Amino acid sequence: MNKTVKLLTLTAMASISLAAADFITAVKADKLNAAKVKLENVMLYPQTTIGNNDKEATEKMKGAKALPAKAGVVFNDKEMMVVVKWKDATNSKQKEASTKLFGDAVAVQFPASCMEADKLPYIGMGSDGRQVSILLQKNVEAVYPVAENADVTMQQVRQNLNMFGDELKKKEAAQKALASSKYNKVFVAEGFRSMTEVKDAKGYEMSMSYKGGEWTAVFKKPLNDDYSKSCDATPMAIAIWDGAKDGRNGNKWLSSWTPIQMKDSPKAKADIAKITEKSKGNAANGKKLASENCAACHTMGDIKAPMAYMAPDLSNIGGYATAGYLKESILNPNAAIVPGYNKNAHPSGVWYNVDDKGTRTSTMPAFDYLKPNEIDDIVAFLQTLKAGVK
Amino acid sequence: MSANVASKRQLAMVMDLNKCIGCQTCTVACKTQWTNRNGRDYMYWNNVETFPGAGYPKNWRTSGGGFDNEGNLKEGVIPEIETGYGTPWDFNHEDLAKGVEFKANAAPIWGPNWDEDQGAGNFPSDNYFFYIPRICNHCDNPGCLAACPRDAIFKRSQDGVVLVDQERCQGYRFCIAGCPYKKIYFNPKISKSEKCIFCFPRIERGLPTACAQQCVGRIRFVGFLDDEEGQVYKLVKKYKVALPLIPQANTGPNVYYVPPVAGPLKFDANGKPIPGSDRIPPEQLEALFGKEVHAAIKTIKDEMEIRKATGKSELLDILIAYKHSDMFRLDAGYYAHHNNSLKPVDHRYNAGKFTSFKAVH
Repeated sequence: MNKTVKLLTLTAMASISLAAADFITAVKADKLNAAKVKLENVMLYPQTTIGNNDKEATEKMKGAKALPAKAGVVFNDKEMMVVVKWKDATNSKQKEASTKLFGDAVAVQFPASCMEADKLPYIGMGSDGRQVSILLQKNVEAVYPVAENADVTMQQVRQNLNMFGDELKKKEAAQKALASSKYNKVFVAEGFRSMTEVKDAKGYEMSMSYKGGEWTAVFKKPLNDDYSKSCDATPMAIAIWDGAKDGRNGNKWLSSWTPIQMKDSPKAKADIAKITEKSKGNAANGKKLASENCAACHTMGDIKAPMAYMAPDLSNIGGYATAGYLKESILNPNAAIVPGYNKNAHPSGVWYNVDDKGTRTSTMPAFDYLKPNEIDDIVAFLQTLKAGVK
Repeated sequence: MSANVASKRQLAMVMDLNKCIGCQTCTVACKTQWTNRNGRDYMYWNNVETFPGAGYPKNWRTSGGGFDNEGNLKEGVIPEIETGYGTPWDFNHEDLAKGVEFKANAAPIWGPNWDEDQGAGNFPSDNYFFYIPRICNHCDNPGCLAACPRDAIFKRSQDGVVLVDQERCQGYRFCIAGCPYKKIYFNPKISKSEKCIFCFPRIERGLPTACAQQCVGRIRFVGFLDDEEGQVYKLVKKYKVALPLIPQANTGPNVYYVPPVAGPLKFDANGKPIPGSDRIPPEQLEALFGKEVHAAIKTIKDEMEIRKATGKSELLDILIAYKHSDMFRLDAGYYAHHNNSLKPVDHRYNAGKFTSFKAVH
């Protein structure tokens, strides 16, 4: 009898521990050490807003469930360190002699500056005027420099080298030494098409290791620099790619903005509440309203839009969008424009238009005539849209 | 085709399949110029494949990409090196002096023009083949460009050459799935995509591409599609005897082919050749070059008759390919006076490139 109770309690605890935390408490420490972080549960959802044209990759991600991860932060006056852990049955590596293998990868994203908590950058790598910085690392066998070296023999294959024996061996070893097994990059972006590598970023360190079916990734960055700032509650988003599912680019799992509490201040608490807000609207009525107002363009789970590519697919939007973003996008679709497909890929389903000055206007009209409670209902419904946990 | 990528002028190439002997000199010219190093060694930006056959990469014609009739990019697949392209292999030359057996260091299962050595058909009654040399088609509406989620692929406005911005490319490989010709390749050593660049550093100096320069059969013509004095224009626009490959992929390719005009004759029951017959099935030619292939073949055959009767034919004079200077109409001066910067499609991100990026406060 006692044993059963104990088991039940354990099961209950396990399910509680799986629930995503509202925020991550940053631990202050003089010396940054990954062991010092307080890990919290963060749930990541399959990115389905935009698809891609790789048939096999799309099939592999079909019906993907949510991916539970753990994340923690430790910081001092100058730097912060983020630790991300997640389970992955396979250690997938991009190999230097394969066109089809993809590496497991992980990225963390921060807004470029401390923005209003209900007007954060678009979760898909920011939006016009709301920049983000992204730290990415990928599991690769070796990556060689791109540029043609002045010494072309450092790139030529053995058949073209006119070398034999020890001389050839020495040359090939020197070529091999050019390779790096690290694929660590820092980017800035204003929307996923605009992502640009920062080549002179200083003070960034990243590493990832695989043990016992679990990845542990560590990111170290300056607390404040040109690319991101520390706030009372610093919003962070996490993306994870599974190489075994041909993961790269949008073929990934994505968390919502997750606040990191850096200070025990009223502002931190207010921002955390805003970022993690759950709409109090009526989701059932929201579903009805969404079917009437949104389904002409948006696919939303079992509600299918009549035409593919027409608008962002909202089937997992509840997993990675904040209530503030959803509300803002309904009232003012131009506030954060989703970059969409390449304009040549689906010319009859453009998500925005660009004028001569480069200003983007969403093709979605503002639904500002809806009553505030109706918008709350729609947001409540959209927040229910997300894949289940495995 | 699409306003988003339209170039002011378009470079084009015409290849006369009647004269291709499959010697692979073009392939080697390209390889030694561009792809013998740094992860490109498995790639053939120029290849010559035997038709019928699975081609290079294997089964590229059924690997997706290109656009449907509504202009939507179609799904595609990415070939693997070993099974799709062929792993480059080497022989144990160095050990031969030690008396060991001469052998390859790999057991390849596919390679460029693997079909040539396989052969098929019912010899000698219905077999036929011809060669198709292939480079990037530098399309009007490139499938690779449309597939790129990073705007890393762009089409130069001055000549329509399609290039990959190596700074922007993140090695996602959607371009490979998007190209119906599978003429863009993933370089796994640098983790970026690479492709035929139409030898633009040569073109800008007024020289033809390496593959065209070296072609022993003189089958390749290079020039601007709007140059009405050029032989490319005359073959494509005036006589309409040069046709794009797989036009139904809807990318608007800019490499044109003069189709094989006369295949081997069929034999009758007594083993005698049937005059006027042709073993190449017309539907195969249609699948490759569209319905216009029949008119193109007729035009050439008619011109051959005119030539026999009168001794004159501009079209046949062009196809005989007397002089390189006529076959290659390029203009270094054009490039010298043209703003030649390689501008990517979306340059909003240039502010962040190489330099400190100032966040909005």
